[in-house]
Amino acid sequence: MSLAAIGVSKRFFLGQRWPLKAEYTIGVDGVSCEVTPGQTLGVVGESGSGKSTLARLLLGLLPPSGGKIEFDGQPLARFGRSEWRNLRRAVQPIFQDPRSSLNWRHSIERIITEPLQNFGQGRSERGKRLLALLEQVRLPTHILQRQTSDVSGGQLQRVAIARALALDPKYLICDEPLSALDVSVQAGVLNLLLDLQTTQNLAMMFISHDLEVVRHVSDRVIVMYRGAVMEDASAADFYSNPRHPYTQVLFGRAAPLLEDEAADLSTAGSQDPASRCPFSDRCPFRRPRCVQERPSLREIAPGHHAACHFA
Amino acid sequence: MQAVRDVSFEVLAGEILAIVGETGSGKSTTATAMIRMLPRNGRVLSGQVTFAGQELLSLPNREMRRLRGEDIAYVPQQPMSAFNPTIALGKQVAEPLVIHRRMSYREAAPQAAKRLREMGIHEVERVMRSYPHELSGGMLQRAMIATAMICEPRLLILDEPTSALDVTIQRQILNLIKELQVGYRLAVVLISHDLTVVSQVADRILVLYGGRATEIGATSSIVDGARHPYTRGLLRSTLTRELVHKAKLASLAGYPPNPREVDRDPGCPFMPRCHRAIAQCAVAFPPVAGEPDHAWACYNPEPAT
Amino acid sequence: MAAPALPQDRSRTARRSSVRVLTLVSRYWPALLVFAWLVVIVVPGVAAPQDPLALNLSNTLAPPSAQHLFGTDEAGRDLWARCVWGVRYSLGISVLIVAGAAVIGTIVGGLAGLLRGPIDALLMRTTDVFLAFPYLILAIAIASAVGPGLTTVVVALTAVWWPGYARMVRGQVLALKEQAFVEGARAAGTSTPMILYRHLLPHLLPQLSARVSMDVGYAVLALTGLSFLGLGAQPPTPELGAIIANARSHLLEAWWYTTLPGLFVLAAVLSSMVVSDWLESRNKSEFLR
Repeated sequence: MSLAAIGVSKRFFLGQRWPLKAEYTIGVDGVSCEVTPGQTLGVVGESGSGKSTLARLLLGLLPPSGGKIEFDGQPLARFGRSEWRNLRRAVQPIFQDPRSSLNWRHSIERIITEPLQNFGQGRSERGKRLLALLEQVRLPTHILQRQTSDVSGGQLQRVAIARALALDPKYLICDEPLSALDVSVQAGVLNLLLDLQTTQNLAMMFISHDLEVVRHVSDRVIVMYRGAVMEDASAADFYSNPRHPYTQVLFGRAAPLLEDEAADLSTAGSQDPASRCPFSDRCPFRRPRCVQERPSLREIAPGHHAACHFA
Repeated sequence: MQAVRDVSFEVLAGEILAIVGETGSGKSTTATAMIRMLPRNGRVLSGQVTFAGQELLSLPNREMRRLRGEDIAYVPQQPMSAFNPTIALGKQVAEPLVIHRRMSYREAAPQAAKRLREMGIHEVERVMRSYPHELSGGMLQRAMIATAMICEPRLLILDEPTSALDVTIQRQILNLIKELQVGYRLAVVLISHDLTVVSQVADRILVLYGGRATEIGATSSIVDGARHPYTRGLLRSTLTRELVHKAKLASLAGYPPNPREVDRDPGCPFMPRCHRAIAQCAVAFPPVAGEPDHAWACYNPEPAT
Repeated sequence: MAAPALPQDRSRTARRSSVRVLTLVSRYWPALLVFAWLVVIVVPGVAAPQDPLALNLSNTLAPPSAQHLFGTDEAGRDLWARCVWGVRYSLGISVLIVAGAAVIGTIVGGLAGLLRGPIDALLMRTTDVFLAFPYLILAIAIASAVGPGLTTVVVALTAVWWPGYARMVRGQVLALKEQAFVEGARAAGTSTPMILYRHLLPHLLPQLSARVSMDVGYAVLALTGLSFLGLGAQPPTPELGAIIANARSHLLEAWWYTTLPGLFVLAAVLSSMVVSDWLESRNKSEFLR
């Protein structure tokens, strides 16, 4: 039972000046990862790294340009209507900003019950489920009639969690679920997510730019840079022995990055990625081989992979 | 709706004061009020703002405008949106010189270039010709700071300078601010919601909650020995290495106050969430107590560590 | 001796509540305007006690008097009553036309914007075709085929009105569908038509309603114009344009006969503009996202 990305790529069409070649920007570049029940996969990366795109690919909100996404061994590309319905039931998102990812013209009640409505549950069942969900996320019932603008950020994120849990999913894809929240509230929401994972044996993907949070919640961690996985390891190995230069820079253990203003992340596609390491223009350890040959993600220790020639 | 009540602090030349607070704390309002840049429906009800011995609130508008940019610089949140998307960056960075020193854009350009280089931007000519949307967040933030510094102000106010940026760039910007502080003996007011981030560079920290000042002190006093339950709670709920993997964090119950409702209760705004609350807390806001360089407003503070 | 406290208190509270009513009225008076028009349309009898069809050949083209507030027409019918009933047609049918156009346009524009690709292209080219039609020519064409009448003009006007809505809605949908909550809806299993109805429509409504109320004014002008030309309402239907057409031949002898219906048209159009302005100003204040 798993949700997996296998060599998945996604590129976005920018435009074409005929008869020149079409221009693309690379969202995700050959990523493989897996989310399994009871386990949390942490995804770390900065903006432009492709982590949000990866989330959407796993949620089935975007079709991959290359590779495949598999749900319980079945590729999404071959899904018919009933398989898609099952997928929607089983895989649910928690997005970063509940103020924009929830329709602010709807009441809280409507927001939480929408998934139930989509799957044809009757009014009384919806009502019962609604109360159960509110209890799970520890929200008071009087919040139901409110509009999102009258609800605090922390509570709103709990609303988003309640909505995600409505269909009793097996997989929870969390894209920076704490980043938009007040600091004093983050811990509470984090605790809730941890709790839910234990009680429901959820498979979680936890995306964040915050290394400490990821370390705390994840069992495995992958680091993304410009759409590709730079390092893939168990959380313990990742934090005790990071091998990829980019990871080391993130931890503040390596020299500062070479400032490269020309490296506007969105134009990465025009630099012919196949022939060099994507991190080469900012890597403090760069050597000639790095711009001649792209390193593959290789196993440098049991269960620990890094995409670097010299890791 | 009263956003800020009875907040007092001072910043000295060559020191970084961080104002830390969450939603409803009044930190942004305090900063904009200080330099008289409140939105149209905002008004300062009482109190004074003194800059280098000069009272600001009663200054004529023309004088205030002169001060802003020349002696006091303000860097707003979100560098991406703070620049005009239709004007090339070089012009915008040079603008304070054009306004305050009566230079032409051409005369001011070399200075703008020098500042940008000082902020760590290498391809200065290209950046000056670029438009804001063509540059990354980190670069825009540097450009913003360059713009603020171009007239060599004595006070720099930064509103959430790192919130919109990636972790690695955050570190660089914070270092940059530190360098400016030392190099120019700048007084810096750093506004943020993230206590851990500011504790890396700030000399003193002021913690606001619900429009009130709850604790102020030297960074080390705050980080190692916070006395106010809110500050302690914040520090405790951050992740530290000692925590067991996937263990639950000590979290503050409840939510930050709704800015619109904060002024309705007479007592301490933190009371609903405070595990050390006593009857007095609901009656009136606690008086300030403490040591010379560390003060707090609490009837029942956490014991000293 | 001081007056007893009680009557004073009562007058103070009375004053406070009358102040409240006044503020409510000053803020929402366009809604009252709409309500007034609704009353006129639905129960015209309230505003016009006289029968608009009652002939009285002994009192033709009589000037305004106590009995007939705005005089009579060439068949002795009370002009005020005819106008009230006439505005019922003019305004009421205009509302129907615009509402119909808005519904059709929203569905077409919404689907085009959401689905994109070949469907979008097909729908938009169809829209362009209809947009190119001048309504007058179309009305004449339909009239020559099936004869003049209110149905003719309703069809003609609706046919040329919906494309404007389709374009507007499509543009808005294109922007709206990039919003994060649309993604969230998809992830929750919401189907495309449901996304349009449940999620996008609430966001479209403010601008749509402002535009609809403004278009009602324009529709009144178009409708009365077509009826004036003889393509729309036929006698004895008291539609304002038809009345004015009749009045034309009596212009010199009976100034009130052309003026009053014209004033009604003016009032209707002006009201629609006022309501539209008000709706738009309310929309702006919500646009804080």
